[in-house]
Amino acid sequence: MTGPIAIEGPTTLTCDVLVIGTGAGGASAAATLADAGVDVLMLEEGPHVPADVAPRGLSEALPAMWRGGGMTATMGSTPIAFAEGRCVGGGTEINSAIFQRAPDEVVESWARANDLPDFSPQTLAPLYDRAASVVNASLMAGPIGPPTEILRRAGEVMGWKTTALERGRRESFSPRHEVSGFATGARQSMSTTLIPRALARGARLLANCRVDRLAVQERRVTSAVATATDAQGRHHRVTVNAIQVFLCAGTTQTPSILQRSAVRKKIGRSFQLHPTIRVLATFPELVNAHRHELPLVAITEFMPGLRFGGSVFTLSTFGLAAAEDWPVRGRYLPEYAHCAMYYAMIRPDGVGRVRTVPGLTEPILSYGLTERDWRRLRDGLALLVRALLAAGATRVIPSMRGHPGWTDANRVEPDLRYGLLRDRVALMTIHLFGSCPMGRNLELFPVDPWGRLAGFDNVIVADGSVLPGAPGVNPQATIMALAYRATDSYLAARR
Amino acid sequence: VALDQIVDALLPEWPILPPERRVSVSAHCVRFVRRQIALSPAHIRFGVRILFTAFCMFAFLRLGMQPLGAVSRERRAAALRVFATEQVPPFVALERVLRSMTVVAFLDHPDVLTAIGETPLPARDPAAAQAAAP
Repeated sequence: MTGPIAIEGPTTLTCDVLVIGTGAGGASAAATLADAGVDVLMLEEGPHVPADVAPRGLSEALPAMWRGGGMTATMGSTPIAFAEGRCVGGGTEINSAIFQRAPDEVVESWARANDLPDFSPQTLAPLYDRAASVVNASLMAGPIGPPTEILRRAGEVMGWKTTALERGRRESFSPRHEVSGFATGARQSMSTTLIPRALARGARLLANCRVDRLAVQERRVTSAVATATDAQGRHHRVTVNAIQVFLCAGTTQTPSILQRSAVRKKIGRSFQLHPTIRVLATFPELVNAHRHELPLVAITEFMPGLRFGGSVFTLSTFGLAAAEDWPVRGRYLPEYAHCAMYYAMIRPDGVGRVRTVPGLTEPILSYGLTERDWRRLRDGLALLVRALLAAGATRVIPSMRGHPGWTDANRVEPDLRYGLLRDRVALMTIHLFGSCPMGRNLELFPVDPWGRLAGFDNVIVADGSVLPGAPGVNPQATIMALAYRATDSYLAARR
Repeated sequence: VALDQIVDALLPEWPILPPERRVSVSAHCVRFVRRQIALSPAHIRFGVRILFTAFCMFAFLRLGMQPLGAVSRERRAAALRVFATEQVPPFVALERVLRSMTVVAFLDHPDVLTAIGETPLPARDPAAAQAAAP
């Protein structure tokens, strides 16, 4: 891979197409454009972290590759911790590389609700196929390990449908690398797939370069004004003049850039996420989850509203879960080889906002769950706990402060009869989307069905922010598919 | 200094490390927690600082007008635990943030992994590590 270009002073760059952001959307757009012979410049706020120097533990990965060092949460009566990548490759460098297509009924509901033409499971299928081919989405052959088998058994015992999960991979890897960028290069993230491809076809990449604002003239963005940080930590003003802009900075940063550029209509007002509650399960037998891949099966019986899966388990992610409620969970630290972590994730009705506050570098995210969301989370937790106990867990501890966990499935429903304790529950998510959703009526939606920003002739949004709603699954595949859709449409119009 | 003393008090008691190892692991955790706070978004960083100041005042009173450094690790940790059980959600969040970051750094440390029988990953070339740093 050709490395990022270096900046050593105030600089003005020119390109045909500027792609802001190098995550699943930005990389897909940039590689498609570069394949078509377009002059592309990619800007990335975070650093380029090559596989050979990739962090090898969570404590190295958090400061190097995660936004805000991973210390990010939504505001609201129940804060929700969230994770975002901030490096070349974006979220694809820190997620679990699970590849899932949005369920057909979800795609159809999006098409109906937002009046999206030519938008159906059939029309999206080839776009998903392209994305799957890029990341080599594949099922793992043979036994995957106890954490997967436990979840599969839990589904079987309860008579629920389970689904094997495809993962973007080239070879098996140690879970120690899953949270740290895959030093082996096995993870088929954007930095190992589409970004090298774009660079090989002549695209340029400028990392450590944060876009401050877009310069707007009537219905066009004429340039992006950015701040680059060099290897010595010095900041330099960079101006990029471009004919066309692809805004792919992600669900929190795309609306923030637009708001900083005085583009506010409908921007950042329908932000969504997948609220997730985790449980820590202990087993009499050795699980050794830290030596195996994360569970590559999901319980999909209640999809798309509710889904059960397994979390990445390393000693440090286990420590994070224990630290949520140390007096209760700290004692299980020596028993880590007998533990595994699972989660219940809902497709919510709640929405939030992304707000940019003058003087603050990061936007403020607010999010609120509806009563229906709380009920669904409560039901999900109850079902998951009962399934894990039926699958042989000796204790299942929810992410609720002060809760000792359940050992008896008959106690779960009575204990939760009044719902979750909202001031004690710890929710998290790694899926953010929908802050600039696409739709036909531009009085209601900020982006049209092909990603074109309302009111502008030369801005296309192609990242998680354009998703019309919660997909109920890992959004990476959908983000890539919609980025291909937007880029193909742009190239067709350009020809 | 108070932050360093609290991070040291939050180190897990398992596995038990030889004293000289514990000192170096503690220093590693302190560096990590400080860096994490510095990297966090401004509104979160500001909140952590305000809450930590409130905790220091609480601890000073709770510990009989003694600074944190003058009491044992156990009493420091106990003060934070009491602070967090005041049923004020931000107080709980402060304890959780500090402990989470401390535990992550602790459980990634090669000396800790060796002590529990896990194989630490080989050390990386320092120059390459520096190049990858943000």
